[in-house]
Amino acid sequence: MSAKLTEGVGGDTLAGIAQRKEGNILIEIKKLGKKYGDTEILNNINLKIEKEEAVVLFGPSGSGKTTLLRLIAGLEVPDEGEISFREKIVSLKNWVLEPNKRDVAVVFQSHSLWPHMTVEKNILFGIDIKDKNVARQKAAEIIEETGLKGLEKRYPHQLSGGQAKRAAFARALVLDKAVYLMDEPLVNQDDQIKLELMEIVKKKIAKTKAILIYVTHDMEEAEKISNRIVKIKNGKLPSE
Amino acid sequence: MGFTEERGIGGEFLNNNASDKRKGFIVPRGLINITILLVYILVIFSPIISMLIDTISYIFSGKEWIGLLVPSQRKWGLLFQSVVLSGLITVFSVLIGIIAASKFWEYKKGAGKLLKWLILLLLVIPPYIHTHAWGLFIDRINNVLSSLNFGTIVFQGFWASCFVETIAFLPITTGLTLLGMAAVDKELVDAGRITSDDFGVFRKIIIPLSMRVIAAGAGLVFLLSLIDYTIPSLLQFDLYALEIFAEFSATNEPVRAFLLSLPMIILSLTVFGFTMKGLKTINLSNLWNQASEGRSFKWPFWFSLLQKTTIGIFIVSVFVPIVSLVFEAESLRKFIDVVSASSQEFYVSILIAVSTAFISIVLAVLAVWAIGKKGIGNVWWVLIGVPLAIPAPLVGIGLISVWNRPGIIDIYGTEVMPILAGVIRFSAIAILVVYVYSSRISSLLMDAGKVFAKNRIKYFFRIRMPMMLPGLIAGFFFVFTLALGELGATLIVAPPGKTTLTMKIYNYLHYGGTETIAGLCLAVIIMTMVSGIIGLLSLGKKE
Repeated sequence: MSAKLTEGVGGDTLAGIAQRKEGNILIEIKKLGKKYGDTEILNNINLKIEKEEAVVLFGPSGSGKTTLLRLIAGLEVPDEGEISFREKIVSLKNWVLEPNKRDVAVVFQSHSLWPHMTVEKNILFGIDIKDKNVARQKAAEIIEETGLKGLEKRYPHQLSGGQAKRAAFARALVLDKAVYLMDEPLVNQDDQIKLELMEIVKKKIAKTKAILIYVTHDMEEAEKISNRIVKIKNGKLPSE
Repeated sequence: MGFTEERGIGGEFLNNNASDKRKGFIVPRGLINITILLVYILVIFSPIISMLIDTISYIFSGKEWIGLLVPSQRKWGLLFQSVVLSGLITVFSVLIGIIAASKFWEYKKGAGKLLKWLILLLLVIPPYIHTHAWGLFIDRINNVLSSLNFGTIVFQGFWASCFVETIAFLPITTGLTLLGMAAVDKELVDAGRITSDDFGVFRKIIIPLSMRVIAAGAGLVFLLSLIDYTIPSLLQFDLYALEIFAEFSATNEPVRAFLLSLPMIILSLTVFGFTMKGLKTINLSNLWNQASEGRSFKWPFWFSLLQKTTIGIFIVSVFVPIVSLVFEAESLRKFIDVVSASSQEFYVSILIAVSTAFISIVLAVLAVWAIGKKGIGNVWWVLIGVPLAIPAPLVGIGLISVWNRPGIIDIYGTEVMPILAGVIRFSAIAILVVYVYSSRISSLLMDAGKVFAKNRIKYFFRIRMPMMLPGLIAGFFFVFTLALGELGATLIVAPPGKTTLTMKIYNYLHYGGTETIAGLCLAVIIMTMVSGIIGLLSLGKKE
């Protein structure tokens, strides 16, 4: 029972609430619930994800899969239940540890590149390395890998849809994180880009031994990503 | 067969001759656009054009003009003072505005959301009322200080003007910053929060992405404070804008005032050119919709303290004037007496404000129609922006230059003059509001209207106008509010024997009668609040 908790939003003191988890579980979700106003989005979600595992959250539009991903990222506050990372509680009812302290990277559905920054600056933004040359080197590597070489100084509005998507992946994959969260990242992309980016993601996951949680409503895409497909419907996990 | 038939898309029969006949009744859109443009230029720019013509003939008549155009050392000094004062007001109101907006931005419901209304309440209090009310408040503090044998606060000059104008213009920078922040895509903010703390996201993502709108707010405040002379004159601080008024009062020659104001107009237009484009990107309805779902922001302690301080400034800025005036008005009975005794001024003020708002809205509808789907181009942008940069006294002087001549319709010396002054000064606001509102209406809905309406008139009155109605109501009440508080131009062109409420207050401010001033100020606050709030509520309406 020695889990250490960082003070989160809301300033609650959480000493004593933390519980030591056992085994190989990296993420554990217990009885998670979320509402927007009176609308119930998620209800009693329980899920365990082990180290080095890739999980697909699969379901139709409005099923709650994006909300679940945002809760895992720490962008939303749960109304019920808890989420633990590495045996440490990171989300509780009305309390969350900030996303930047969670060891996660996210690729959003739209590219979400900051329009006032070049591709290179978008990628550099999250790199937490003081030596600027090392950070630039790291950025250059992912730029090369994602096929963005020559586009580093361009702004998002100067990129095609596919290039912007590559940059969004590069911004997340340049970070060495324990968990990669991807919210329908390849929707509306052509097959060539899908294949290329999936390969890059798989390589990164294999190299860093991280968790991948991938949201999609496309079964074909889901099957290419992982064997573990978690179906979500009406905010519940009826079967796995 | 007198006509040919062709099978069109979808299998319909298209009668070419019939189609041609219909085209015969349509006036080319380009011609209508040019007509609207000319009408707008004629109404809004006639004073400037008239003064330009007068100036050219003045120059060619051999009279001394370089001395007026190139300011003397004293006038350079005044211009410098004006720029420094406006610059400081802008810096203070932008800084406070950004910090306050960062807090208001988070208020989603309950008391916090109500606090946002403070911005609106403050927005509609005319600046000269702030001047008077803060003067009363400082007087009371001075009474206490005197009784305790301390020195008193001198509420005059540069810093008093800076303080009052900052308070008066704070809602502009705060409101625009709030709108700018609200327009930032939530996902861009979320993307930042994954790797950076909230303050970092605010500093590196939200503020840079809102910068165009913040700069527009800064530019607007700089312009408004630069061309306003009423507050500094009440606080006995000499400014360049006051010099223009004084020059005209002394010589009664519009050309001399125009030449004198040119350096200021050039400065204003430069500022306008650099900053105003941000206004085009604003979605005013975001003022209500910006609250994002999800985890609230966590600020560093020192910033949180600053936020609370700025919210405190807002609360004080609303309550000090109102409470000071209520105390000064003494009783409800006296308040009613004061209002009753000024019924004539109320009538004149409302007549002028309603007429100004109505004409401005008609102009705005025409202008927005002419602007069309292509957006505000450079020509319209200049036409909308220039009136905002013209000092109020110059508008009045220009109107005199146009209408005080023989052989012209006899409107000089009537209420039409202050109405025209209001239209020239504020129709740009009506155009911006109507344009911004209409641009958020789905063009698909408009296209559907065009397809199903039997004719253009039916389309215009049954589809386009009802959909634009909230924007028109908002524009009407915003202009009404501004026209009700207009002073700078009205003071010059008001017809003999006719006084507006603001003129009466301004005169009493110089010559005494504190209960009357307080009562009238409260009446103006109530009227502007009601009309301003109706305007804002209309704008917040969904399609």
